[in-house]
Amino acid sequence: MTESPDEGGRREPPEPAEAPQPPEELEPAGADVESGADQVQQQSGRRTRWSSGVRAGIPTLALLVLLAIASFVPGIGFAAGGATEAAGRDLEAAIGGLQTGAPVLVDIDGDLGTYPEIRYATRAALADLMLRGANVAVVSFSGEGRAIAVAEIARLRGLGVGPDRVLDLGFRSGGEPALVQLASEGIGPDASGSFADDVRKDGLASFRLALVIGGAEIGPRSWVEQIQPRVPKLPIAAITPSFLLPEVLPYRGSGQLVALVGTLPAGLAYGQQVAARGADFGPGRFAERSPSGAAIVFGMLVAIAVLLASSGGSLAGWARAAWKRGRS
Amino acid sequence: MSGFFEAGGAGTVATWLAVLVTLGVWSYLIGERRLLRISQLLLAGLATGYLSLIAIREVLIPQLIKPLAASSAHLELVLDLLLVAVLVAGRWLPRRVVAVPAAILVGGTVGYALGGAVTGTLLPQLAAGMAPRAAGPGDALAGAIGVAITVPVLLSFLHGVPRGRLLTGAATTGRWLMLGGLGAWFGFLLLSRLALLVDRIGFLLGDWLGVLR
Repeated sequence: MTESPDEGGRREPPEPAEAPQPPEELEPAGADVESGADQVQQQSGRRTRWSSGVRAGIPTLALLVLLAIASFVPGIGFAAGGATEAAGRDLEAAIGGLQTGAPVLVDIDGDLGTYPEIRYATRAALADLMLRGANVAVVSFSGEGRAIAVAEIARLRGLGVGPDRVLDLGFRSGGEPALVQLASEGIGPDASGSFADDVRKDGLASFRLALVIGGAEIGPRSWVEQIQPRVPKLPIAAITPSFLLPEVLPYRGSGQLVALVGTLPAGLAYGQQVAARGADFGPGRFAERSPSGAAIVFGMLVAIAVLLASSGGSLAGWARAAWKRGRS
Repeated sequence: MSGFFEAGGAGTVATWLAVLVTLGVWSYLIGERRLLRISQLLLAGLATGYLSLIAIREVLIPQLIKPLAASSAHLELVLDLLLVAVLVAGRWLPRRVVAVPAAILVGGTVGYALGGAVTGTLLPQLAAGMAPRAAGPGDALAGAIGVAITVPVLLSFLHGVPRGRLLTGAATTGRWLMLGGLGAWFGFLLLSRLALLVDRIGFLLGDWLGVLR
């Protein structure tokens, strides 16, 4: 019995043992031996195929185990200083410059697949805003962002932050046109409470800072393109996953973003700056568990080694061919 | 800690479910595909259900049905509803009729995107790319490097145009510079994905097993 390659490691139930046959129906001895050998071959083939699946996964499983071990190694992480700390300081300065009770608009539009990379920095920023006494209005323009926003608002409420400090503006459909609508019409009539009444008067100009948590289709670029030309007085800060950095870094260089935390090291540096301040946040301090720097450094080293090993041979072949072409 | 699961029975069940699905996806590493398929179907089903709920609860009911039910004076909503109905029934309607809402949809989206790209990105970035007169030698050098990279990369997109030796060399250089940029972006992507893997391991060790603090 053979398995199709698509069936992978699926194991078929064992075949029932053959019933004893009367002597006259027995096949010649040679044929019996042959069918037995076939059966053994099939079984061993099945075993080999299953174990080849396991064998192929061994390097990845080993990597998982090694990353798990590396997670316990203290003291290894990303080098502090330079651009990494500067990015954290920019965000800290943008939030630190707010007065107590200043309204801040937070757009949570992370992507569920990449949010874990920026979760630490996002929570540090939310804690920082709470520590500085800012009032936060949360809005989302994507379904995934809305799911994250709901979870983060529930987490803040669980930490003892009241609805007067965190206003849920909900989900707004329509993508970039919805951003334009927000810029022109403000938060709209649906939100209630004193905080909502305060920021309804002057539209988006009422807010002192917009913090954009990016990752989905609506992110810092959309805010810079759609909101900034319409509400130029509103400073925009952003937290994005690393893969978006090439797209949004020019906006930080031109000053269109007042702060940009776009890499994991920058997020870690910023979170440690917030945690080091040690002020109370809700019922406790900002003590979020940070991603293991040692595991990430180790993983990067493994990735570099794999890249070098896989591309080294082809690069050497290409160089040799080029050298031969040059000689001829 | 992901911090999404509250303490207590519901939180424990949610953590265990997350653990089972994580391990189910990882079982693909040893050639087991059925658990991965179940996880994929679960994700697709949950995402579809969730997005449908959001569309109904946060868009259709508050922005369409409630205003229409409250008053009949919302002509623009009736018109919107008509256009959406035309799009939905587009398969059975003449192409010219369906083209109207499709053109409005595409034209409006492109109009906003293009306008924003010019006023929010192109012009401010051009302005930021110019070194001011009072700039130091560092700024001027950075500007010159920017031009030296941008021009060959743009030239590499010239196709079907007769090119001289100089232009061909510049275009080839531009292609290599672009490849270098893609390599750098790949590095960011690698770091990003590695952070996700480490986060999952942290979830298993910390939230589930409780051995990582």
